[in-house]
Amino acid sequence: MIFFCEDCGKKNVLSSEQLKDGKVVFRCSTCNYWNSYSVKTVKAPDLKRADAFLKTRLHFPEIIGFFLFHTATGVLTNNMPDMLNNSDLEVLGNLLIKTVSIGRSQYPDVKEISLILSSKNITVKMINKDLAVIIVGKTFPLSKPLRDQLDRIGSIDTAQNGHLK
Amino acid sequence: MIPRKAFMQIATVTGVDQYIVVDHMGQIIAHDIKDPERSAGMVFACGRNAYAIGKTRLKYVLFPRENQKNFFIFPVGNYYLGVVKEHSIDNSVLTDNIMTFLTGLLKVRPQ
Repeated sequence: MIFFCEDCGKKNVLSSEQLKDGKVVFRCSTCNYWNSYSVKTVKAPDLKRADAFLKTRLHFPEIIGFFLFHTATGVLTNNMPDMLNNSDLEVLGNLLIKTVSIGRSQYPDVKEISLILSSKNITVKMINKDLAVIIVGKTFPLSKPLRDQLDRIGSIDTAQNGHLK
Repeated sequence: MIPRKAFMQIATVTGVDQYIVVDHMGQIIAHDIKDPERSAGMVFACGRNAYAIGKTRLKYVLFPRENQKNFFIFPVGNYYLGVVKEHSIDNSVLTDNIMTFLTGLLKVRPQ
């Protein structure tokens, strides 16, 4: 998992064992600052249910892959092609979530963004303020059935309420 | 370098409600948008993030909005173009119009 130093802001890669009772303690590998702060986590059973929910709902031929990303703990579930490892997804997820966040600072009603590339597209759908599902697809705009499912995904709330609606 | 006047023609593209152009340092080159300073910061930061992901394959970024006045960011050489869509026009019509405009703009720019 990736955590950022509170002092210098540099990235630190930690094992899940260093996260206990919702708190992470580590010395920054760059500036040696001792970090100790609370992080929001998503319970494993909820994650499994969320992942199962998404796998069922996001079963469309136009989808190349998707992953769940949390602002504090990074990649939660990975259903992306093998060519992208978790480090790649951490970087991708962080950049995308930051982009949504900056967009919302200007337009607070923005709940998702799409990056349109020449051969694929990436859609970031915010489930709540910390949790997003990131979908890589082959075509844009998204099909109506997929669009409908994405709109319903807003009803998943694992990080705040601890259960699926 | 694309002349400022050339960018200002974006206002005449069908479906464009507001626009802003920033350079690779985040400086405003041309605009007709509410709150240009904040918009410039958003377009620059989001455009740079998106470009870091898509590189030269990035066509545009879409921010859908509840009022249908969706916001778009297009990379244009060393610049980023931010556009607020008129609520009554389809996304695809606007993006086609802008892509056509930008293709023409990049063809005629002085070397």
